[in-house]
Amino acid sequence: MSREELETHLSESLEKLEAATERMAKTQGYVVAETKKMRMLIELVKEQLRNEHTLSSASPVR
Amino acid sequence: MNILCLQLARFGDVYQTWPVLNALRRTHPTANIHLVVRERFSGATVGLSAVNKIVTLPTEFILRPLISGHARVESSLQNLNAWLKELQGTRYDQIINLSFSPVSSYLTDILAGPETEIRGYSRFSDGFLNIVDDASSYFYAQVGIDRSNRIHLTDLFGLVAGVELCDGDFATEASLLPDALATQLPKCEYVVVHLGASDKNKTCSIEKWGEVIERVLEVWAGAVVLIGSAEDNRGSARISNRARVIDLTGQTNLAELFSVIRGAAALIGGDSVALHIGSLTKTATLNVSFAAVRFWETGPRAKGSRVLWFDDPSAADAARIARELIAMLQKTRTGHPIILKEEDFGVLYSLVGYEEEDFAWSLTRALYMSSAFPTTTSSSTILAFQRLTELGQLGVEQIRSIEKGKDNKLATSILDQIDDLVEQVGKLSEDVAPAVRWFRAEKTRIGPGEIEGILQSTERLFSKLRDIGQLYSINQKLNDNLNRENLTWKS
Repeated sequence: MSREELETHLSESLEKLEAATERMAKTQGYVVAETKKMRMLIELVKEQLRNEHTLSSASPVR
Repeated sequence: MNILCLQLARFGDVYQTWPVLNALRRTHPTANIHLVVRERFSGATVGLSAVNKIVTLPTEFILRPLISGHARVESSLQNLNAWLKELQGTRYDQIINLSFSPVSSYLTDILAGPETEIRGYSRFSDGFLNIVDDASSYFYAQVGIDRSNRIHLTDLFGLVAGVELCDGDFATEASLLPDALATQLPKCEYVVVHLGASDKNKTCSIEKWGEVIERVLEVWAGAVVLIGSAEDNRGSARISNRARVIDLTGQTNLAELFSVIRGAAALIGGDSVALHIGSLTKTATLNVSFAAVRFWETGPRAKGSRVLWFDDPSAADAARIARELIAMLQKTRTGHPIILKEEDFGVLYSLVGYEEEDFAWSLTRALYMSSAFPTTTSSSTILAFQRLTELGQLGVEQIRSIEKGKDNKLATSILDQIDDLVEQVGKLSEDVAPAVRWFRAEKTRIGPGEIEGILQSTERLFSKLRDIGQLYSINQKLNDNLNRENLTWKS
């Protein structure tokens, strides 16, 4: 799979994840375990899109 | 006691965490210590004896259903749940998050129980970032390539973890090299040259290293051992075809590098994993560093180490590098600018002949370490502090207005704009940026709760911002108003 295809799939997934998480947070709130896990998934995807998983502890992303 | 440590950054960060893990083991000899690292960087845990269990985060496995073309969110969540089960079976008394990332903050929050002591990033009950301890707040605000922190990352990790590091925490156990590698090592004294780095802006070109090696071998009777990845091996043949040069690029794994580097008289390289291994094997290291790296935070720690700094790899002077390496081996000085590793903890380096703007670092020390606030004669810096004073006071007034029940909507809107304006002041003046980042970090730490408590905490913070800025406004006013009559010499 090319980098462009990968990024397209990840971007589409990110949209779905964010929409699903927003619905979940509205009905159940953040404190529910599933909402926390969805948020973690979202950040894992964002890392891939930013090539961030390879950055060091001192990288500027917070 | 069960302790979980998260280190989800790269190879170098995992190695820089080893001393903290050793310190945790030393201070908690019977604790059950677990470490989470990325699968891709798990090679940096081989030889780490301080932990009871290493758990790898399988990012590819978790995200695979999302990249297959049909974005199967449920399947991805199932994979994440399956992995989390491995960790959720243990009730952790302490979670130490040394990753400082959004992913790690959610992971910490998911795994923490009601009684778990957390250090590092986590999440509040409303999902916002929770910077739990003061050291992590310092990290959030002041650490990074475009900032002025001078404390080494390993020491900051120690502060977050709540351990005081000692020399013994930087030791590792010796391991045997496979015969095939051991027989290639020179019988005479040798230096190790690490050719590569994770980024080409963090090391010299192969040709430049070749020039350095040639100059060193002209005046030194020892040998040179080249190390690096398989990719470095593709270029190393251009420079290794000479006497007393042994090319091990592409032949060693990370654990084997410990033995190679431990036996060396010195190590030389850019900002790379080899440098951090050298800190653990206590091998004197000449770190050739560039503007893309902050050597204060990630430089070498072994006794006798030095840093030679250039703007970028194209500016690196091979003759100078070679001279410095020879001087380091002979424990002498060249007389040229150099950065010496002189302290054992905290701020490790002394600049000799190099200059770095001090004000921002001095301000950082004043904000966090009770040092005196630095003076300045810069009118732009004084003006920036005056703006912070005004914005701090405006913030206090809006909070009081809300507390009295007046114009809440207007006051809230003004408060939002104040945040933006404070940010702008920090962008316009590098000197005051540490104060702006301190303010932003501390504001982030005000979590959800009763409105009265939130208002009080926010008002206190705006007051502090105002007071810090006022130090410089008052000085300037006194300076302007001081009567200078009768101060001069009379004839």
